[in-house]
Amino acid sequence: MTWSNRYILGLSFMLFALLAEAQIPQPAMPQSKSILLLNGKAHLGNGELIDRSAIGIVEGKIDMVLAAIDVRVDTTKYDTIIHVDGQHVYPSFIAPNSRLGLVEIDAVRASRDYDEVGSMNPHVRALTAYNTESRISPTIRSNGVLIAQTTPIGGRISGTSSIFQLEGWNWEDAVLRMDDGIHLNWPIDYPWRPTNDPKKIKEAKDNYQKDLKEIKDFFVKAEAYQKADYRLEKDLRMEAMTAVFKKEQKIFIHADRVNQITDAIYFFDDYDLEIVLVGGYESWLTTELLKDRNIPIILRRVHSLPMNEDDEVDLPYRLPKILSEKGLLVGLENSGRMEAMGTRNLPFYAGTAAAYGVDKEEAVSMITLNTAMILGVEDRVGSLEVGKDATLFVSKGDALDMRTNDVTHAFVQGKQIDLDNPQKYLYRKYRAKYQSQEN
Amino acid sequence: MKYFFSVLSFFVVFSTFAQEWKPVNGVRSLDKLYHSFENATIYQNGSYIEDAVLITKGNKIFKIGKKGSVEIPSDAIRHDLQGKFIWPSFIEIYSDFGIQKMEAKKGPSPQLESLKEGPYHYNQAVHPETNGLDQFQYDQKKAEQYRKMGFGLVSTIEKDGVIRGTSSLVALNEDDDKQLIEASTAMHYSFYKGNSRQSYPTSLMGIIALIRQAWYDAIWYSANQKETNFNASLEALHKHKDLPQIIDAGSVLSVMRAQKVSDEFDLGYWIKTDGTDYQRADQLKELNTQLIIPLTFPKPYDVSDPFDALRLPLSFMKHWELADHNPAILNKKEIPFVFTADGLESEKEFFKNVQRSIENGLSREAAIDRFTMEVAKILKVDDRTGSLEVGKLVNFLVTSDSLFSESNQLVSNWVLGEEYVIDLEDEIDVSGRYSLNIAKKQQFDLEVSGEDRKYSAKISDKGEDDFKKAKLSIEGNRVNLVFDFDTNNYRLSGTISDSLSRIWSGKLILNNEWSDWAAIKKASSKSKEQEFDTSKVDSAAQEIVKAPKIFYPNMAYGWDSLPEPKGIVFRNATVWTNEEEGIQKKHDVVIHDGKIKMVGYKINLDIMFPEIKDELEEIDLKGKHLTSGIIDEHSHIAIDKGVNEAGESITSEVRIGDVIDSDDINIYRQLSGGVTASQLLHGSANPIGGQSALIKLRWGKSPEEMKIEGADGFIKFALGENVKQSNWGDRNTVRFPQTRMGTEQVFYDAFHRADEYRDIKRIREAQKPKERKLSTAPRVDLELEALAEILDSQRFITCHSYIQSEINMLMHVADSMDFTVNTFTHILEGYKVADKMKEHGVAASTFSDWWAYKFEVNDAIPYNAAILNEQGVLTGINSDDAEMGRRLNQEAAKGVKYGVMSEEDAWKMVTLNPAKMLHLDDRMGSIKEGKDADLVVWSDHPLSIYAQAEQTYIDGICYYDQERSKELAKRNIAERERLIKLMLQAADSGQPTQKVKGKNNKNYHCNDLEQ
Repeated sequence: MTWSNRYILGLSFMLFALLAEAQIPQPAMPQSKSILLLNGKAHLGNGELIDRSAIGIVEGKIDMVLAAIDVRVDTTKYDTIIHVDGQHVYPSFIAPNSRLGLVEIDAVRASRDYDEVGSMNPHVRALTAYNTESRISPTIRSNGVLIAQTTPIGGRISGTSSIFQLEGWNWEDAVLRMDDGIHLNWPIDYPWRPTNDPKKIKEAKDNYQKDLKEIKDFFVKAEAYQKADYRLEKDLRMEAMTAVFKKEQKIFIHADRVNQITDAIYFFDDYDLEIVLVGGYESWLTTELLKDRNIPIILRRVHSLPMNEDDEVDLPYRLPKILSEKGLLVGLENSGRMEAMGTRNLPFYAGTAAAYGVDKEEAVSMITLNTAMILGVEDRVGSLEVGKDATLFVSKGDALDMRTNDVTHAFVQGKQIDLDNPQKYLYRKYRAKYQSQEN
Repeated sequence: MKYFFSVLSFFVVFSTFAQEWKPVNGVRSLDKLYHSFENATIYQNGSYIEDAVLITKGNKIFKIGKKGSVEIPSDAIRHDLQGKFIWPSFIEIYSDFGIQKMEAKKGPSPQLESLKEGPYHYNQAVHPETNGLDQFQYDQKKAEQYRKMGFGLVSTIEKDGVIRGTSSLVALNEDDDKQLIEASTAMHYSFYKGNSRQSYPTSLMGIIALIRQAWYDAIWYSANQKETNFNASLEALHKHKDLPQIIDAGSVLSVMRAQKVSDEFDLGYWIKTDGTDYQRADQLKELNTQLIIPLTFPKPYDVSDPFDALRLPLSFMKHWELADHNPAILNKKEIPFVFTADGLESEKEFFKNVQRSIENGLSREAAIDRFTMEVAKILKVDDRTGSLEVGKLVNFLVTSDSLFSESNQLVSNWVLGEEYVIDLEDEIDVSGRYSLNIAKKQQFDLEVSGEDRKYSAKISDKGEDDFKKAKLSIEGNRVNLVFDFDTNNYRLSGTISDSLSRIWSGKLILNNEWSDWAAIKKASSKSKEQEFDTSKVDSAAQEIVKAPKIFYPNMAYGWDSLPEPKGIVFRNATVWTNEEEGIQKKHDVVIHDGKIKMVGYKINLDIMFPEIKDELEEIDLKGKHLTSGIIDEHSHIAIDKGVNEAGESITSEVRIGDVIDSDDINIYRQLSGGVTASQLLHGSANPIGGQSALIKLRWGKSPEEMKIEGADGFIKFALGENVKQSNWGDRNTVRFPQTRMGTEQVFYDAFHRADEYRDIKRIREAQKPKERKLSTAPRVDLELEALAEILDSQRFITCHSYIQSEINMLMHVADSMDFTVNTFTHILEGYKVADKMKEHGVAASTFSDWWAYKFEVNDAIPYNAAILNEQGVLTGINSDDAEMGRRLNQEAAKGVKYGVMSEEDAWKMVTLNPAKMLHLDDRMGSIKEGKDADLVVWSDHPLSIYAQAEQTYIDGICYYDQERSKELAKRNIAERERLIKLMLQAADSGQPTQKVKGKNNKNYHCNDLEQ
């Protein structure tokens, strides 16, 4: 028995066990053989489209991206050739501001790990709570989302996010970028629940000022803290801010209302930090401010209702176009109701962006390269370009449309991953039941 | 002697001797004296008597008439009211004057039963036995405020509870012997739960059901009094059925709801509103509503910050502009109404707001009658008060000018013959120009300006210019003036001669000597308001001020006028027929009169439709798709004040149809997603929820007009975590059931009881007339009525469900009780029991890909719909979510993505299949001749993410058009800007403003509770 035979036997045994247990697919073994994806329609993520492409994958990296029509491809270089004629190849879609891995069942408190006690929690990290055994993640991968920025929520500063590949034995080997940024929820200056009560309105305004002061005090203190050469006593909150002030970590400001957005922008004018706006529903009113400072936007869920009764009914659908037209760097996110499991619908938000004016390839960028750039991982992922990680997938049809999204192959750092998931397992199980009834 | 007897007989005829029954401390004081009010203009039932005389005796009007025609008793106390007016004083119909509020009894939480001990109604919010006097204590301060507004009588009861009890009519008179006019004047209801902490009701529909059931119980109780235990509440409710019935309803939609209740029990409700009545005035007229309307007009919003103003919806702005037109509009439509001053903060606001109503076209007399005679009629005290007529109570107002004119001052308010002086100081009109002479040597010009006891004075010795400030204070008719001039300090004290302030005179110390001074008025600064023309009282003659435009609904995207159905021939479309013909390319569809007339290839109108061809508009749909409208089997949009009646485990008595919110923007938003009809479902907070409403999204129409005519009745059931309150926190652990085991028993118990109820009714029906006379009719039980309908297959269940065990359980319950569950909704584990479902004959309406939000959806899979469909279960995709509701075409597409399903089948999951589930497939769900013209024009393949609904038709009416929507969006902005400008102007002119607020987003889901 050759090694490879033994390997296959072992693998199939494991697959069998998997079927029986309805468990989470086993992570793939490191890529040992080079792969050539041939004749797929390649959406590079950078806005380019290659109709018939040749994409080479060697040692986890993309080593070739060519138009197979223009150039004669030397196929002998590759151990495996996968013909994907007529299919579509995409770099992994990236889900920013996600709760994936931090929650299994929303209503079950024991399964929630995304919201820590306290207001200023930059030291609280998603990294070590990330659950590679999540039953949800495999269902997300099957739609083309292979990377997520797992992000805590709650409080004023929710904590520090990390970027994960949805593949791995544990958080250490799943992580793509450790501790990529902190998340600041900008306060609002009106009561959440609309009211006529002038007392409550005033209270909200007063609280807003208090919250601003809290933020200001925190950043003043953090800035001062960084200047010390040596500290005997450590303040974990302040320590967590070090990377932010060194611009090794970004600061994600979560804000939807124009007043919040402008206040936040002017506040951070006093600091030299890497700023990203998350949410940004009313950012279309402040595009100049954002543009002047090169602040990118991770735009709130495209499939959402207008925030104001009078807003145009399709405003949420048109926001990607409105913002990108102004030259802003726009990525799309998915937070909100049903967010963890709903991450698999991220591709379709880009689809709607395309339906409402964004060029289709640019719409792809909004969930690939743009997001990678915003998150600071564009050197590794985000596009099908030579030198980047071979974290990509193949879909039978247009992956931005639920009508045609059908992922057939997916690779994380060159490893072909198992696209099975617990839901598919249940599907097979019960279909088998009914088929046996028919027989 | 002769004379004595004639006087005596006079008294006998017109009065009686005062017979005191109370011991008096000291000697008796006669209080039944004559007062004679002379030379005034008197308002009497719509017309005026000039130079009139009004004579009172004690607290009754003795005589009234033109001067000269009335004999004035020689011992009358005479009041010269030259230039003044007398009006009947106002009656407040809706107040809690003097009511000592009851402390809310706090019990354990959740509190399932009433904490009121004794033979009372089982619900703490129902207490018809309460009477205003029980908690009454005369409130001096408040009485004074009411009198300043011109009120003489108020009807009062605590504003608490759903059935509040009877109000008492009291006079604003400080003598507590005389305060009470009538102990029980009206029975009060409201659509607000109030202080009760009992679980039920949690929603408006629950409140409505509670009122209805209370009345059915009261009717039954009165017929069975001998056999049943005494119940003070039911007794009181029935006993007072002939009193006027008043309900505090709220918005115009709630007014319609109240009217429905009123009609059901012939209560003749007078409905207290929030002043939005004008928005649906025509419908209120049709419904024969009678209204009690407030004078609370919203303050302009502070819109100076345009960013902040974004949150302020157009609907609020429009209401700001239209609120003070409400009385005039209702008056013009001849809708009966009276006023209440409820909610007003000051008398100033009161008079100003009545003035605004008059400026906007309500006649002065119409306004006055709606505070006086009309109110008296409602309260059935018009024989005693409400107008100035002989024999009625001495309740009147003396004013300096015509009532509600700007310069008018309320001089005094006579309550039951007792005078309450309102504005003594201002009786003296001091403002004006005086020539001031000091010690007969120095001559000054004095100018006095101001009003309301706040005066300022200026002084000069050179005529027009060069005035210097002087300090003036006036107290009654005493005047005190201080000023400096030429190093001298002048300090003057004196007296004002008369009410016209013609001469001031007094003393001052000048150079250590007392001297005289006098000031003679040269001119009054107040230019007397245009002489009041008493002949111009015909309200019809009054020009109606043009009210600002009302939209339908009165908000963003509302119509200027409601649309009409059109005849259209759609050409060259890809037609998704949902019939045997399948998807037909390049086909034509003809619609007319709200129906589909024909589907075919190149329809020749000359041949096929010679009669109507001229009415048909041609629309070329080349490259586009035409489908039947999307039907959402599970929706919670357009529901007002609570989607769940969560107070009890069984609430089959509540009806979503009672609380449809036709003004929900989500109706319009869903039209933009191609939805034409929805089942508005009760939530899933209890095993047996409420009755559904089936509506078409006829944006702009009223709730009743949205309902689908002749549709079958449906009801929501629920299973699983929500009904056992698993995710409601640690406190909610007492309501039965808390387990799936208990849930089953709830159903069995309910249906057994319903079955017995059915038997009782059957027995009654089978009785001969003679037998019937001997027994009484069974109690109408709204809860069991609905359940009995299920047993009779007259009402159909849509059941919220997740886990296969419970799905199976309910089918067993149904089988054993001999009915069929119509539809399982959510049904996320339906794929596990598809075979059983098929056998039972139940349909499945599910989500495309939701899961993992609760423990019970851990096994939910997106392949569910495909498996169910494959196994022959009638399968649909629904929203349960206002956002997803407008993308149901995409959710249907996921049926193709996950599992094996044709695109046609997928499309049917959001059109034909839900139509079948709702028993509406005879008129909806496909494009077929004779069916309703509920159609959607799609820009692309309707299952594609790239498809947009370009037009949505219901009954042949284009309710949504993408292009027109853009125009409407522009109009919204223009309308907003126009109103913002007006509000800024209002703020500039010194009007107090209110802060911007947004609208409560009540995008309900199954498990949402009203807070």
